[in-house]
Amino acid sequence: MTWRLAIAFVLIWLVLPSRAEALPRFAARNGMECIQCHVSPAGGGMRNAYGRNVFARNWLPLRSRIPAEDWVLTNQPPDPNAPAPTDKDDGDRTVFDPEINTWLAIGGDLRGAYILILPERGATPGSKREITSSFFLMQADLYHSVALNDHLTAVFDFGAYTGFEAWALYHWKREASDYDVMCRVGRIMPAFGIREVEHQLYTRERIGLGASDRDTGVEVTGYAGPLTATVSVLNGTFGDTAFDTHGSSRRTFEKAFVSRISYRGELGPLRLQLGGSFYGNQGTNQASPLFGGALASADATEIGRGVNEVRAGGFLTANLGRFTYLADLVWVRDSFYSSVLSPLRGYTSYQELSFQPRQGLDVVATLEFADPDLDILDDRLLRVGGVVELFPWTFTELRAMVRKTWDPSSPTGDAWDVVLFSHLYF
Amino acid sequence: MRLRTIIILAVASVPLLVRADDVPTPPAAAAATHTIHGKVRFAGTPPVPEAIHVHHDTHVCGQGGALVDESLLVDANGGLANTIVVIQGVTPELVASGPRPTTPPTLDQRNCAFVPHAQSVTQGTELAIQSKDPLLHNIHAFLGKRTVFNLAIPVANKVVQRRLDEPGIIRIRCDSGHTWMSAYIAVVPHQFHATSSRDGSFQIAGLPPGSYTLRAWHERLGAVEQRIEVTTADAQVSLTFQPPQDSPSGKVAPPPAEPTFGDALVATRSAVQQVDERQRMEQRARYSSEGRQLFHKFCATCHGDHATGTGTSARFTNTPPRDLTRGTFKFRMTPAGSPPSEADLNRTISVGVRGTHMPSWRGVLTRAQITTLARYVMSLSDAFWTQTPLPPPLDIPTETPYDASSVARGKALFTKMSCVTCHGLEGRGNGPAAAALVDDWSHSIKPPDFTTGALKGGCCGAAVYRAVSTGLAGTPMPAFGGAMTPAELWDVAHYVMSLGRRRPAVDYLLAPAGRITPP
Repeated sequence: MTWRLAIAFVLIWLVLPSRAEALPRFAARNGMECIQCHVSPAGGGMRNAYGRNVFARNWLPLRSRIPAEDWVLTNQPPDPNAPAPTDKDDGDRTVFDPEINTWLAIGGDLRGAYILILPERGATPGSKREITSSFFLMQADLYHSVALNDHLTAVFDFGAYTGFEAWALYHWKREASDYDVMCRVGRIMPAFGIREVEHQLYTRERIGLGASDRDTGVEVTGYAGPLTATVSVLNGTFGDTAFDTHGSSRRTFEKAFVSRISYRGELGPLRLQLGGSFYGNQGTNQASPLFGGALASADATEIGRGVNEVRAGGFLTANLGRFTYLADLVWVRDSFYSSVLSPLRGYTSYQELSFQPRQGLDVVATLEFADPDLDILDDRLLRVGGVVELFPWTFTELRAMVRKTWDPSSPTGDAWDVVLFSHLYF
Repeated sequence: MRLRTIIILAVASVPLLVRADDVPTPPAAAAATHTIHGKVRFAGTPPVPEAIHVHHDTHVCGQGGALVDESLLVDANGGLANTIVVIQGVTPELVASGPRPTTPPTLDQRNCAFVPHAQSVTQGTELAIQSKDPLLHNIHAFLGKRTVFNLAIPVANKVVQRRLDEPGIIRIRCDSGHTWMSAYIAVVPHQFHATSSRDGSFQIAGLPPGSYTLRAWHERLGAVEQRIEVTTADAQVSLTFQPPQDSPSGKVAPPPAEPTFGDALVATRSAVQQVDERQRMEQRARYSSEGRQLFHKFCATCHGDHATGTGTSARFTNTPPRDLTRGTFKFRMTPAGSPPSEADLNRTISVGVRGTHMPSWRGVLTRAQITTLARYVMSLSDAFWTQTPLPPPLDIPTETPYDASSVARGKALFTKMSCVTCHGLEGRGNGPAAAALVDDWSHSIKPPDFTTGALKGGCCGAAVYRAVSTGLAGTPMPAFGGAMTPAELWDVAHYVMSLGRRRPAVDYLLAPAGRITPP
């Protein structure tokens, strides 16, 4: 039974959308950057005053239309016989206030999920397929944001599964300006591509950019009109030790460099964002989880001698009315210090098309593709999904997702998975 | 109580004590009055008036030097025209006993120039505004950076009256593509003022013997002051402006960005007015204290801590958040130049502004909270707290039938009233003057595309009627309320409504989902 449990664990790990991050769809829909709602320029985690007080209350929840009487222009006195306002239409009755005082605010993400995985067959010929049906606590993060002064903010993120994140953000401009510079120091998740909500996408965790892959270093973000550029220098020990010590062949000043640049613009009613990202990490001790799977376990020692990781890609977001399209394409290259191993090259892609029938409700179709050897046809991974996302009340999200994965390398064959979760955020 | 009374009396007497040197000696009862005959001179070499480059509507405005720049007119003898001269520190008694203005002030527009270029008027008088030009002009008046009124004169010989109640120097421009048009009107809280003529001369009559301070202001040369004694006969005075020190050749510097002369127009208020003002200030302070916390929680992230529209979250908003300190608001039921009513602000906060990031707070905040916020916004601007009582709101009459004939009449009016100058023939916002339009904050601004059917102020007839009638303060859209009858305003509103394309499925798919859509 041990191997069955192991397979079930791996399957759960593969499909578990555990980490609540930013929703790039919202930024794309509104022509904004992540920092419009989040404290971090890279998005995700602690929300700022706009995120928690304006966006989360006004633009996200499912609400009725504004009553007709509020639109009417009249200089007549109110009708004395009109019914008195009811509680139902007098405020949203949110009693919780994440702002403790003028300098301290808390935030949080709490996700509970039910997951159902239906593999095509058993792990071995003739064996019965193992269906996974389980409840999970996917995420429990508590954030603290402390405004030390008008320019300096400290954020602490205590996560039940994803470790912690702690950083200080220096914010040059305290008022809106066409240009701005921010500097973040601490244990952070750097900006790369589209920071989607699901950490284990082919374009995220599967190439080494997952939810737990925070690292210690410095990040500088500059805003100039429609341009946003971020450069980070980090230890390169993502999700690992606090000090840059691992890797027997790693040289002293080998660091990870992560950069991202984007341009926002409009083409008539079309809102666009175009961007590119680069990630280079010298002398790390692991290969891409997705592509490294092709290597035999016996190669682990050789991998441990050191790996130079490079990820480079482009992304596009587009919004037209109720439709929003996100596309992320990442080229992956892992070259090894060991002469025994050949370099790995491949690419991954994530695409999403969403339709918003009304505020508070999104219907999303997703497509993921990964090719670990650049030949497109062999060893490719394909995953197609459908998501219905509902924001029924302030600070609440309900989400249902169905996906089909075609994975020729999996012993259990293709698989269906269903994930339902509730998400409380503030 | 005694201490409180003393304090009140002391505070109330402060305005009477300030600038004591400006206060004229009390005139003897029923004393004979005299006239100050003065001349304003320019000390440098008289500059040659510069020809204005006319680039728009040349068929009316002329071209090739037909218009000259009147911002610095000096005759051969050094007489400086268009200088406003005001007696400082006039007492209420003198105001009451002094001569009344007999000729109502006018502001004309001829060949795309304001006539006169500069004038002074007494506070509370009616300004008759008219145009001799058969095209659209608008009189966009600013007091400092704030729009005080913006009236359209779309047809020739149409007269629109405007009462001038706020003292200060009003700067006037035309947004209808005539970027060279400018004028100044000094609104003085008493009748002892004059404007120098082409030869620099002026007269101020009705002054009893005494010691006075004259203050003169010129749009490009700033202000000078001079004391004068009026004894038993008419007095003569000469006021001299020096050219800028950095221009010994006599060439003058560009005009100052903001005239500050209006600050010196100190109205001497009666005790009753002072009590009213104290009550108003107490109410303003109460509104401010009650709403501050709510504002900083829900609004400051975009509008800024100081409500100037520069909050950190304004960086990515598609429309700059409103600077709430100026008292300039687009959506009002009040007449052009007036601040919005509390109900107007309540409505905007409740329903939001369609197509922008200003959300609808209805259903998020309670009605009481929205009212508190509206009152806080009122506390932010002096415009809500002037002595002048707020005018009654616009009375939107019952809508006339929305039919083909009304639309046809509206279409004809749309052309006749020169709406096409900015909005274009088909209402797409591509008129000949559209490209050069700027708002009060010097941001480039485009007229809306009516064919989308989505307007910020709302979709339906009344909202369009309101916008056409009262204008959109802070934008170049002037008020046409004085230029058209209510029935004509409805016709124009119907025409604008008819321009919205009827494509329900496409409109549904392409319109962002959200609450800020009309019912």
